[in-house]
Amino acid sequence: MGHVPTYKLSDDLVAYQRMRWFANGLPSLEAVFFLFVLGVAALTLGTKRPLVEALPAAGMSASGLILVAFPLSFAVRLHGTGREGTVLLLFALVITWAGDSAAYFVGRSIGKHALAPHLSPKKTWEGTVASLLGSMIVALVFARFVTVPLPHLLAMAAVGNVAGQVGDLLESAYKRSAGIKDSGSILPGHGGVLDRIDALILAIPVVWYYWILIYSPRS
Amino acid sequence: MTWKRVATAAVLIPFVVGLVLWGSTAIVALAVALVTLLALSRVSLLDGHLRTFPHLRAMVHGPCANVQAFG
Repeated sequence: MGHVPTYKLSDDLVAYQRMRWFANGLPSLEAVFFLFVLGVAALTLGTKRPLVEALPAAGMSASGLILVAFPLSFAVRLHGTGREGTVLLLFALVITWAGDSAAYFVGRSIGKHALAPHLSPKKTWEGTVASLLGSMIVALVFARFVTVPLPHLLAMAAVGNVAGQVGDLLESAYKRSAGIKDSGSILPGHGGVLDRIDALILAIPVVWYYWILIYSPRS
Repeated sequence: MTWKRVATAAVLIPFVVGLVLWGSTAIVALAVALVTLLALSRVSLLDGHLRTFPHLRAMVHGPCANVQAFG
């Protein structure tokens, strides 16, 4: 059947699901990465583009896979682990949205002290603190709908929010390194899709790992 | 600009909440794959001088977003 990866803290539900999924012959994460390696090899050797572009292009593709596709796959992982996981996925989304909104409105109103001016001139410490508080208020609301105890939920909201803000700054750093201001305009008032999901890239995996490693529910 | 931000959120948030709460994991996986591909189309533009391999992106990143879909 193949190797069944289990987590540090026993989580029978997750281990069982991974075993089922592997047994069904569906592609594993290792297979996806291997497919990527094969693709890079084929395209690098077969491309008609200048060879000097090959390694940077592979590097950009790899960064997209590792920094966007792989973290976002945790959303599917959360959703697939039953009702609790579905609600926790929603929790990860809402703490990020609430944090973003709080940071935006509070930062615009009273923000004075720049958070990281070399990365993002508009972000302020006031907005950052408001974002954290906004996420923790969401945790208070969600405590009614999940079995996770409130202290763990508050901690999950805090680490998820911090991770989200780090993801936001990371995307700002990439834009700065590329010399561009916006990464798109498909979402009116929000910028591009990458601008909207940059916080989720770290927030969702952090919520997942907190749930299964620190608070490990037993089914 | 603020009203645009609020209006976009007012449309997207209920849609996403409904998708997460009532959609199947397969549907969520497809949505995640779509969002991933849209985001990656911007990643490839972050470097104005270089391009990613678009076929590789489509071939790999979609399945990666769905790798846990049927767990």
